[in-house]
Amino acid sequence: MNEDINTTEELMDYLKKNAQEKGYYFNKDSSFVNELLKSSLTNLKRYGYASCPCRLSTGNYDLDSDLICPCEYMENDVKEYGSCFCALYISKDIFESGKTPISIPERRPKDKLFDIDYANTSTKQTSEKKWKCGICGYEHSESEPPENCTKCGASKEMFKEMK
Amino acid sequence: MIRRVDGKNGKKSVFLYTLSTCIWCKKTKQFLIDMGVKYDYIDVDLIVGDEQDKAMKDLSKINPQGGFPTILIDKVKTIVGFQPDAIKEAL
Repeated sequence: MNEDINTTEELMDYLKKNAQEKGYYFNKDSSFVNELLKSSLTNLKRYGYASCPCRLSTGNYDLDSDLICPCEYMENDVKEYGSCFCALYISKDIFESGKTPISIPERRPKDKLFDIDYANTSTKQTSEKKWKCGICGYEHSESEPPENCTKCGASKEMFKEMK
Repeated sequence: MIRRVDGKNGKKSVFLYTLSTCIWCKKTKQFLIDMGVKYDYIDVDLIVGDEQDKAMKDLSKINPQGGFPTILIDKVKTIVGFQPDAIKEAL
């Protein structure tokens, strides 16, 4: 399906058509979008598929198929944070309010991000806990609470462990 | 391959794990340049084989949740994503 795409314009047309069909919203900042699409095209030429430019692809289609734009995580990220990981896709709210999307946390599972051997040698991967921001109620699943709340920016100390 | 970008402001060491294609990585690099901060970085998508495996293993130790850019300041403080305010504060 991607074999006919050779330019960012063609990639844009392809993604826009898909976005229209599914009711997705594109980031309104055209220079930002262009920069992203240039990088997606780099991946398309490098790997043979337009995988997410903000994540590391392996070049193995089976391992990277979840990352082909729009990636598997896009809908949930747009729902939770108002934009996808790259901020190519944004929510209707952000689209209409004109707010600038920000950099969001990685949703892709760790075993896909890192070789399983790495995950096993990592010291923090064993005990996942749930934390809740005392200010806005944002929930975070990790061994540690985040430095700052992703949603309201409150400091780490404001998080309480959920039992 | 680790690359260095020079800057006047070099009190703390700044190391970035980045992708050459990642937009938040580009924004972070530009932000550091604008601040005149000296930094080292490795574009993980531009290296292969053992070198890439080692970079990803090192990255997983400081940022188990993953994600680019990952910024390591003075070898202790980790910042993930494009976070200009957090970088400013940590420098």
